[in-house]
Amino acid sequence: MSAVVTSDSVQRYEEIFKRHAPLIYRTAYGITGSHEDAEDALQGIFLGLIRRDVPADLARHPEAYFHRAAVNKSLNLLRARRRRRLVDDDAALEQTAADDPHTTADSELRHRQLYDAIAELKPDHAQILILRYMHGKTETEIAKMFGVSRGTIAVKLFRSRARLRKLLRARLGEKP
Amino acid sequence: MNHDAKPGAQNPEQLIAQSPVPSQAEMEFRIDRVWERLGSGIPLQSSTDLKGDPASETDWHSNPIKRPMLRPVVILACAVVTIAAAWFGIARRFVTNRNVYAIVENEDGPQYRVAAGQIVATDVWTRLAVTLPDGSRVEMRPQSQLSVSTASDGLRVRLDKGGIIVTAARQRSGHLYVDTKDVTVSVVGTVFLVGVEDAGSRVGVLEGKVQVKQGESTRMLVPPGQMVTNPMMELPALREQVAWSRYAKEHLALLQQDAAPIAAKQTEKPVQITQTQAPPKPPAPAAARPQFEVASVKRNNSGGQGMRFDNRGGRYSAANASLKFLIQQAYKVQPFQIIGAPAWIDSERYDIEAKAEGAEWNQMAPMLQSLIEERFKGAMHGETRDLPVYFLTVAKTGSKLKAGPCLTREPNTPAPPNQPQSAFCGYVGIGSGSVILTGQRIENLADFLSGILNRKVLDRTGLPGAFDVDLKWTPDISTPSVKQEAAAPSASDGPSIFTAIEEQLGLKLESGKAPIDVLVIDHIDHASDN
Repeated sequence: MSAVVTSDSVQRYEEIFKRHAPLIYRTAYGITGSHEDAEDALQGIFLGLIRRDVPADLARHPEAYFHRAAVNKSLNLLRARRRRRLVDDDAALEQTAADDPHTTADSELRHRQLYDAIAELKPDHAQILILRYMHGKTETEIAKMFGVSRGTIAVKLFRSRARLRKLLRARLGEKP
Repeated sequence: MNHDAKPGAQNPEQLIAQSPVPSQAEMEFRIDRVWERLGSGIPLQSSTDLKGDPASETDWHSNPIKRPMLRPVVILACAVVTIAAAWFGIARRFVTNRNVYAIVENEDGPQYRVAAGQIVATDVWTRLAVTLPDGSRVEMRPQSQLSVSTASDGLRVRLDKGGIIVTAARQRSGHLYVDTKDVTVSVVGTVFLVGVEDAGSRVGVLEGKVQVKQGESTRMLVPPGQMVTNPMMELPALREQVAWSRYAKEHLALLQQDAAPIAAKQTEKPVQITQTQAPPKPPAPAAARPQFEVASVKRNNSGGQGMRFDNRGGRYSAANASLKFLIQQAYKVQPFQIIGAPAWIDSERYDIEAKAEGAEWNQMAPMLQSLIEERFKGAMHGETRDLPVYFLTVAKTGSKLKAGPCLTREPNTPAPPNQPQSAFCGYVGIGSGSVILTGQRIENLADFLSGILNRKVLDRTGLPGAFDVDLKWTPDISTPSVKQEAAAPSASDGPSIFTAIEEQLGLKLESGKAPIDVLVIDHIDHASDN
């Protein structure tokens, strides 16, 4: 960063970082519920850009690229965390419940179940769901980001909602 | 995460919509931290890879690293536009522009050349000089952006942001123009500065004269005159506006020449720059500054993290101290106020033993400055820069600060028995994730928070008087200022400092930008052992 000859490249990289970091951070925090994980996701995505050439889909639509990267990275973090939970899940849950049995444990459990289920969806379905309901994007806006028709997005949204409901019911042991 | 029902009982879309949202201030704080961590790994690219406007979304399209395939429709559209441009004579000028090259230089000399229309930008650490084809020199202050192109009768510099000082070469037949978003400055040979801010533009003249055109009106400016396009903008003294330049001495000399004969006719409007804090003391010449009677500086290669220092009894002793820590002490600045320093000043450790018989700590700080300048070949200067800050404001819930009674006692007298230290006015108790202040003004709380957040916190509460503060939060072990506390156990689900301030004190941290006095390190070197 200190090399003056590259100050314009640094400037440009910084502009892109500053513009898209909030979207990535909000997405990652919304999914993981953890500031540390959100930082990891943000750092990982931009480190990836440093280490390789600019991907073509980033060139086409930066916002769509960064959103997709944020969702995928965050869900990967959740999957890794779920693997760790197989070892110490019970103890962690008991500890959480002891802190505030009526709010903290319930909300964290719901959040975890929701995103564990979303992590089982197809990546593009998860991305569209989060764009639509976490960020409040319209179907038209999402269609523009993904370069497809609004109808395609509507169908994917319908299918992903149905699939997500099914997954959640299965997790709760409810009958369909 | 305020959910009111079980997952199955709600639509999944409702659940997603209720996903946690980070507070703006905390998010910005963490994004800044990620940016700092990324800083050292940014790729070094040739400047020729970086054409185009960095602020543009379509910027990636022009990046030769990987150019997306152009669609036939786009190609056809470009062809139509090019033919139309040629028809109106625009294409001819564009072809001419391609032959304009400016040389970009830093302190080490010429670095690369830029073609017409290509953006030249500086980051927060960098000053550049651009030499134009006519021999004019354009100095760019940090965080500026410009491009150069031909005009019908000369050259044109487009300043998009930041500030420049132009030393215009004598024009033979044409003009040099500087455009901003709201003014055009034209010259035939002079030294002047132009700045662009959100509110408008500013122009000042050091030598010669310039013509400034704003909309339909035109006016001439002669030294040491200056103007702003928006009356709400501050008008700092010209000498302050050229302080960042490598050629500041030359510019100041021009101002002094101008001052005597013209002072009676034209006065430079004396507007005070908003001072947000005590500025770092400008380094006085080392010879005039007091020095330690004797001092020893030794590298400490123990690898330990803890630092110790003692300044009692006419001695200054620091063990395993980083150079950054020494600079902080000597110049009374916080880490975020030190700009342009190499990374090793934070990692390389030293043991310092120095003696100054009968000197108090306030007298030792200038001695420490002398030591840094001599042993570390330190050269630095003070500046004011727009930096990210937090504004401490009253939250919507209202302030929860209370002004309780506190005890006063004479200095150097023992505390009465059975009285806790925290009962005395002025008490400061700092623990891992906690702070207790007794009878302290809100500005002191802001200063304390600056240290924790590594960013200046400015009091905007308007709360007068002294207060008691008892604040507890979960320290973030990756925050630089609390790394040393990492070993301390803490609940991982406690409130962050942002949440704690809002919930426990009824105050709020809002991010923004403000002029902050900084200490710019021009040069620093490793110290050799005695």
